[in-house]
Amino acid sequence: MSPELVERSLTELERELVAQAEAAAAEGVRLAEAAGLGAEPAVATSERQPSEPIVAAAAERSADVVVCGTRGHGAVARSVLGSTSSSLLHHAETAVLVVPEVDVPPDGPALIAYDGSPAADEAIAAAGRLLPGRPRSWSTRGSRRCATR
Amino acid sequence: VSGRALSGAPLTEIREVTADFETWLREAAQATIDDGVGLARKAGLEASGEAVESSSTAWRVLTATAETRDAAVIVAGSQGHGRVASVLLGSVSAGLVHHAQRPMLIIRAPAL
Repeated sequence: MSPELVERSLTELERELVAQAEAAAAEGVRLAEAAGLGAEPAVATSERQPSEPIVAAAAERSADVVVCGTRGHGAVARSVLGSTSSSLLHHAETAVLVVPEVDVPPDGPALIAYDGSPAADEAIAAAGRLLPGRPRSWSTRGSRRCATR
Repeated sequence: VSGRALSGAPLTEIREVTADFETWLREAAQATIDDGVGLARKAGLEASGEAVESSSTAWRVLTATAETRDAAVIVAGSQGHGRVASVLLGSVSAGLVHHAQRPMLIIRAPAL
């Protein structure tokens, strides 16, 4: 393969990937609107981790929270998206809501882990901002194993 | 309370020290709970507190409690170190995210 041919193939591949991403984003908007949310699509490319443009987009829009699944469709995407949620957790400046692929009754309480740390204080404040109108309980976890170490 | 420091001490003394420690631990847990309930109410939440004593890891206790309470969401800070215990929410969050069968809202720690 000549360098020109490789270049052309890569361009075509990228165009195809962007088209697929746009279709996925459009489907996402449709689902979000069906769930009663106002939504607009955005497609970004990244040469490194997929979490990077997500973190950047959240910062640009001053988002309160980034919502993601724990894994995607397909054997390959599964591991990739798993690492995306975990990367988001490490790099996002915002709260991250990670939703596993399970049915959970939506009207249950929120369980807040509290250990008196600044992060836990922030977790309570964020729950107040992000989960209005929901009955809640919260818990402190004192693991004796940890405490006696 | 390290095992080495207590070796050679009479059994009753060890029991006393352990009992004192557990009492302190419970009181500290209760104080943390009171703080948390206060904060939660100030944040406009209807809140109740519960301390769970366990020798298991924190994320296992949390996921089990979420199942019992049928919680719609588990909320945790991304890292922490409270005065009750060195319950590191960094590893707790990681355990939760990998194992919990519930939605999880992970809140980043404020910059210190």
